[in-house]
Amino acid sequence: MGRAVGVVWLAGWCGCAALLTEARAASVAEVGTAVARRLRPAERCSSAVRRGDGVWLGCASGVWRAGPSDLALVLPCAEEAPGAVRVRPVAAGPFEAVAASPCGLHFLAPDRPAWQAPLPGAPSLLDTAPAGDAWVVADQRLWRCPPGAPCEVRADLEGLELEDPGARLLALADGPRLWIAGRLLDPGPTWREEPSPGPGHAPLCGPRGELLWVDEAGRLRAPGVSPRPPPAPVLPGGRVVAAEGFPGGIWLADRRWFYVLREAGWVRGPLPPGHGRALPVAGELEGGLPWLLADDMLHRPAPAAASAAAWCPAASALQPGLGPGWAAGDALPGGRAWLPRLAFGLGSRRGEAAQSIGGVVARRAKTTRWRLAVGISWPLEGLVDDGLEAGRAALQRERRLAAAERLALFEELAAARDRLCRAAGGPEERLELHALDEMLAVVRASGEAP
Amino acid sequence: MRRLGVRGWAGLGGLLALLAAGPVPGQEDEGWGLDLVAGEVEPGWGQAGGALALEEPPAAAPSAAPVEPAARRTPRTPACLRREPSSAELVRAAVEVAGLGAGEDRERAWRVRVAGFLPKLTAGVDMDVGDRQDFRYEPGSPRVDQLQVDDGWGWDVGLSLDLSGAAYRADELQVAREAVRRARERRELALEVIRLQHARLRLLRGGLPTAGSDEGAQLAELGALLDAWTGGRFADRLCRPRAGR
Repeated sequence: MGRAVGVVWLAGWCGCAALLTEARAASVAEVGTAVARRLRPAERCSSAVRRGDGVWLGCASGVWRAGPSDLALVLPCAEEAPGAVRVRPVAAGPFEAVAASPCGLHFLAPDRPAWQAPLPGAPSLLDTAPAGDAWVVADQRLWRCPPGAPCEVRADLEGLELEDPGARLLALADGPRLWIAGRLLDPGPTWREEPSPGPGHAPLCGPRGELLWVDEAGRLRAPGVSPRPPPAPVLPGGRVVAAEGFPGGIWLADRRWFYVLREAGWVRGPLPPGHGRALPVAGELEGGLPWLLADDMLHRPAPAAASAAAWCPAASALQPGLGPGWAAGDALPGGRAWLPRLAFGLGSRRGEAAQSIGGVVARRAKTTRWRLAVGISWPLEGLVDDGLEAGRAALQRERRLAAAERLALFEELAAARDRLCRAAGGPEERLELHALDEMLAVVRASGEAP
Repeated sequence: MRRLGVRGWAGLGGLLALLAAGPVPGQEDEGWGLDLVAGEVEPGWGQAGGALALEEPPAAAPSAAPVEPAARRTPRTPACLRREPSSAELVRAAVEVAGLGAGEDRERAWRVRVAGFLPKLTAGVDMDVGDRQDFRYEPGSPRVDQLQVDDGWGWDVGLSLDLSGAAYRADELQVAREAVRRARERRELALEVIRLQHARLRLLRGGLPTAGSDEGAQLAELGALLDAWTGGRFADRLCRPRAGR
């Protein structure tokens, strides 16, 4: 039922949005952002939930709460891995948020101590359903944890690759799903894999708890919806690097812009200066838009600002090279094993031969011989298995990975430069620009020696 | 050579002088390029070091305007910034100290490539030592001894060439993979050094901090890290926190 409602809602939404945005990209409304809070000394925050004036933060050192003028560490949990502490909103009840960390599962409220749900192990994945329950993966099992009540096991996860760094838990309206190793699994009585619309798609929980899929270009798809896909926003900055649904809309971001799909259509805004990914703050919206969490700063929606004066000089358009085009054996693919070994030899021998009969030398001869040799040989085992082919393939793979890594780093730095250049250029920004330009020069020139 | 004449010698001298003088100013390939591959600092790149970044908007492009005169410097700029090394100098030193120079990669790759075309040379000397004796008896006749001696020296020289080595060899693959790893390490090292240096410059924007302050402790830590990466080559040129609280 929930899925059907979601599909109908999405279809209507898409039709409306298509009229607005499909024809021209210029019809995408623009918004801006303004700094709401600086989160220092909280560092490497990767999730946030906003309720009123307070924001719960999942950071590397634990759970923090940012008030209007204060910032406090609520649940210390020394865990260096970013993303290990995750907070999600709780829709109903006395609690505002729930946090999963290596220290346990805690329900949070500003006016009472955190309540720890009894779990046999540290939770690794967390999401909250619209009804308010928390779904958690812990101790190789899937748990449902209502706020303030004991958790109950809902599925056994033995044998699944829960260590996959991209694993996610989606609390959809019609039940949880596990996104593991590129497969979306429905943990019912028998594991069922949800069909994906195509390669490169990732699932997300839609505004009504329905299942949506988004590809790298930002195109949204939903199972069972008419063939006409929802219109995609124009992504001038490249591919989508973050996508989340929230009650009331969908949030996408590439490295330079964020996009929010609401009932009125898409709006987009420039990401604030910084290097890291910008994520939406779950919970309450402001003007129908979520706050942003980026580089340990909270940003709130603001009217679109006029473009800052062009204080940034144009960046060099020179991309980093892909590395050496030559790879060992390219000139003779597969033919190495057929090449023989040649041998040439030259020799000489000088000597004497004497024959004596009865103690009297009868004959004596001097000899000089020259020897010239030419040989050719084939190691036949090489015809069956050239042991170096595996090494050659590994080298090419390493080179591809290195080139991709360098291009991704270059793109990240170039995006950070673009984001910086959209802000007003003060001394701090100019210094940062200088650093980025030096780093870009390094990445551009950091290939293998030719 | 005899035909070169005076004009020829003059022309040759002029050409050598031109080569010694280097590229014409303004015609360098990329004024802002940090040529880690060659392990060289492009002329004009970051020569003013931190002072450039702090005192004047860097403009960050090859065609940027030159550094403004000192009259526009902010009064809070510490004087020690003038002797600070540029990021390019720091990166070059760090790469050298780490033994990650691109020149070594190039040289190693060239040597292993050439080695694939070289034949195996064998040489040997041998000597024949031996004789053959036989005795013949005939009734009524004296015994006849026959002795045959063969002595002599010989030499052999051989060349064997494995043509598959001309395509590529296992050593070449290993060197190439090592070069990929070293290029990655070189880049990470350079980025780390630039990050450290700019973190220091950000701290120095507010003036030279005292040793007892938080900023002073941060500056000392960042300076120590840079010393570690660069082998202490710029220990006397980096701004350090001043004494006091």
